[in-house]
Amino acid sequence: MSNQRKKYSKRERREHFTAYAFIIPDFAGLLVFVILPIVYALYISFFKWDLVSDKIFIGLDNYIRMFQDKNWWTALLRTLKLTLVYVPGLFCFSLLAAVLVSRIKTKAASFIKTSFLMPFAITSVIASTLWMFLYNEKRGYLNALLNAVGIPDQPFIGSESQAMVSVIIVLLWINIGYNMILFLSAIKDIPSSYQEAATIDGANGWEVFRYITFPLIKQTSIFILITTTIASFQVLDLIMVMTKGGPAKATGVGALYIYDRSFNMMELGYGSALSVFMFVVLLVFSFIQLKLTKEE
Amino acid sequence: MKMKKLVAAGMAALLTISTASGALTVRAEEEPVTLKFWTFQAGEEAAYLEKFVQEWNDTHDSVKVEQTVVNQSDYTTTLIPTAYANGEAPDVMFVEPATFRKYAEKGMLADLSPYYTDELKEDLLPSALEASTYDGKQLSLPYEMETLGLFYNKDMLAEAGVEPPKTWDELYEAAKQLTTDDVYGLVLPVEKTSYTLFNFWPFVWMSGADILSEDGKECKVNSKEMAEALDYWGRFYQEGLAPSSLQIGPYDIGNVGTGIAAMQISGTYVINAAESTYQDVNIGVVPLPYPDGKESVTVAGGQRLAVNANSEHVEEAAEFIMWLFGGEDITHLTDWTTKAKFAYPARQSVIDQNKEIFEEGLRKTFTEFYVTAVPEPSYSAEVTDALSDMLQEVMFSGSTGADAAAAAEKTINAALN
Repeated sequence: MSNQRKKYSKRERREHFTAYAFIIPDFAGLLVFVILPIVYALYISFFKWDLVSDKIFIGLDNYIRMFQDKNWWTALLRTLKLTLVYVPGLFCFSLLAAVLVSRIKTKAASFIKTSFLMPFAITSVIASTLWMFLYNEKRGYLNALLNAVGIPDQPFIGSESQAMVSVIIVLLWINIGYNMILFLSAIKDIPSSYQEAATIDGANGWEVFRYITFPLIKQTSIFILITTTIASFQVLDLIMVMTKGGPAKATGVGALYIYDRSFNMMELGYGSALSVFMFVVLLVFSFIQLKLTKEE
Repeated sequence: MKMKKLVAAGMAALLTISTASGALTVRAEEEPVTLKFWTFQAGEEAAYLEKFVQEWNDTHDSVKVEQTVVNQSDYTTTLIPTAYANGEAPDVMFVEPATFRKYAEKGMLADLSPYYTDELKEDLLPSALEASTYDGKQLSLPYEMETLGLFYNKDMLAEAGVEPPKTWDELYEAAKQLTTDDVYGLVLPVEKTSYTLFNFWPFVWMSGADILSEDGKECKVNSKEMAEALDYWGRFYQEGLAPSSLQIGPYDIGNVGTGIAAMQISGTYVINAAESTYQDVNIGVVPLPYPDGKESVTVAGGQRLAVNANSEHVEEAAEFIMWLFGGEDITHLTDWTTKAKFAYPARQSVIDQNKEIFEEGLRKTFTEFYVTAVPEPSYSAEVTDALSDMLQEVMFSGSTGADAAAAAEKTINAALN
C-alpha cells in the first residue's frame, strides 16, 4: 500500500494545477527580485568593484577585511542595541494592546484597532518627518508637554544619548498596530470555552493570560519575534531621514554602514560582503527560532 | 468565422509592413543622436533648464537632448553610480566639488579639454577653471559660483542691541545673547553631509589650517590651527547656541525667515527666497566673521556640468554643454545666474555685462566680498568621510578639537598609505 503511488482524482489534479498556477507568478517575482539579487550579492562579494570599473576577483579578501573593520563591528553593535530594545518593546506593547483590545466587546473595538493600525499605513519617510516635528527641540509638541510638567527642553534626535531611543519610539509607533492585529487574530482563535472554564475554576485575568492565552499563541509570538528581529536589522530609511546616522555616530547602524560603504565610498564588493554576512546571521537566527518551535 | 480570421491576418500583415517601412525611412534619414541629461533642480531652475533643452532641440536636428528629472538627494550617491554599473548613465550630468574628485579618480568623466576654446579659458575665473581640472585635464565645465555669508534678522539683532558680528568672538557673543527658549542664536548645518563640510571650509582657512600637503601624500590635519577651528565650531552646538537637529534644511533661509534662528550661515542661493518669500522679514547679510587679526574668507561651491566618459556620444554631449554655458553667447548663463537663481557666474564677461544686477540688495554685500572666495576643495571619499566624522565628534560627542583632529589624521594616513 505504501509503495503504491497515490493516484489523484481528476478534481484533485485540477486543484493542484490551480494552486501552482497561483503560486508561479508570485514565485517568479520572488526569484527575480529576491533570490537572484541575493545570489548576485554573494557573487560580487568576492570582487573588488566600484560600480564603474571592471570587477577584480579578490577571493575572500572582503570577508577578511570585514573581520578587521572596527567601524563595521561598532555599527553592528548599534544594530544589536536597537534590536534588543525594539524587539522586546514591540512584542510587549503589541501583545498588551491586543489583550486589552480583545476584551472590548463594544463597537469601539474596530475603531481602536483602526487607530492603532493607522501609523502602519503611513510611509516611513512621512512618519519620520512627522516625528521630527514632535521631537523639535524649541518648538516641538513633546517638549511643550514636558515643559508643562516642569521638565526642561530635551534634544531628542539631536543628542547622542537620546537619538537611538527616539528612533526606536518611532519604529514602535509605526509597527505596534500591525503586530497587535496579528496577536489579536491569534487570540480570537482560542475557543472562548477555555477561558470560561478557567474563570469558573477561579482563575483571575492574569492567570487566564499566563496559562491559557499566552501558551496558545506561541506560534504567532515566534513569528512576530522572527519578523521583527529581521526588520530591526534592516532599519535604514527612517534613520536616513531623521539623523543620517548622527549625531556623531549615535544611530549609525549596520545597514547604514553598508549603504555608506557601497554608495558613498563606491565599494560595492565590500558592501555586498557585509550584506551577505548580515544575511547569514539572520538566517541562522531564524533557523534556530523555527527549530525551537517545531520541537513541540 | 474564416472571413474574420482572414481579415485579421491581413491587417496584421499590413501593420507589419507599414511599421517596417516606417523604420526603414527613418533610418535612411539617419536617426538623430539622443543625449540623456539628468537634472534634479526644482522650481524656477527646473523651468529654465527645460527651456534651454527645448531651445536646443528646436535648433538641432541631428542631436536631441532627453531630459530626465531625478531626485537630488540620491543623484550623486546612488543614482549616478548604479546607472554607471548598468551602462545606463546619462551622457550629460551635474557634478559638485564634493563628488567631482571621486568621479574623476574612477575615470567616470570625459576629458573636455578639446572642447574648451581659448576665449572660454580666458573668460572663466581662474579659480573656477582650476577647480574643475583633474590631472591636467578639464573634466567639467564650471558655470556658477555659490558663496557663503552670514545672514541675520535685523530686527532681532536690533532688539537685543547686538551689532552684526565681524569677528569670531563677536559671532560667539552674539549667538549667546540671541539664543532664547524659542530661538537659536545661529543655525549651522547638523548632519554628516558634504554640505556641513562646505560650511566648515572657511573656518579651516581662516584659522590657517591645512588638510593635505601640496603633493597630497601627507596629512596635515593634526595641527593647532585645526584644533582651534574645531573647538570654535563645536562650541556652538555643545552650548546649545546652534540646533542639534533641524526641521528644514540648514541651507534654507526659512530658518531666519520664520524666526527659528536669529543668524544663519547660508549662500547666494537663498537671496531670491529672502527677498520674495520672506520679504516681510528684515534680513541682512555680512561676510563670514574672522578670527582676530585675520581676514574674512568665504568658500565658492556650485554645480558643474560633466560628460560621461563611457558615453557613445562624448563629442555631441560636450557640444551641448558648451552651447549651454560655455559658448560665445552668454545669454543662457546670464539668465541662469540672475533669473533662474542667484549665483555668481563663473565667467567674467557675464559679471561685467550685468554689473547693476550684482549691486542690488543683498547681492551687493556678496559682490563686495566675492574676491575672498576660495573654491570648494575636492578630496577622495575616504578623506571626506574622515573629516566629516571629525566635525561630528566636536559637535556632538564633546571631543576637543585636538582629539578629533588627531583621530582624523590617523584615519586619513591609513587611507593614504
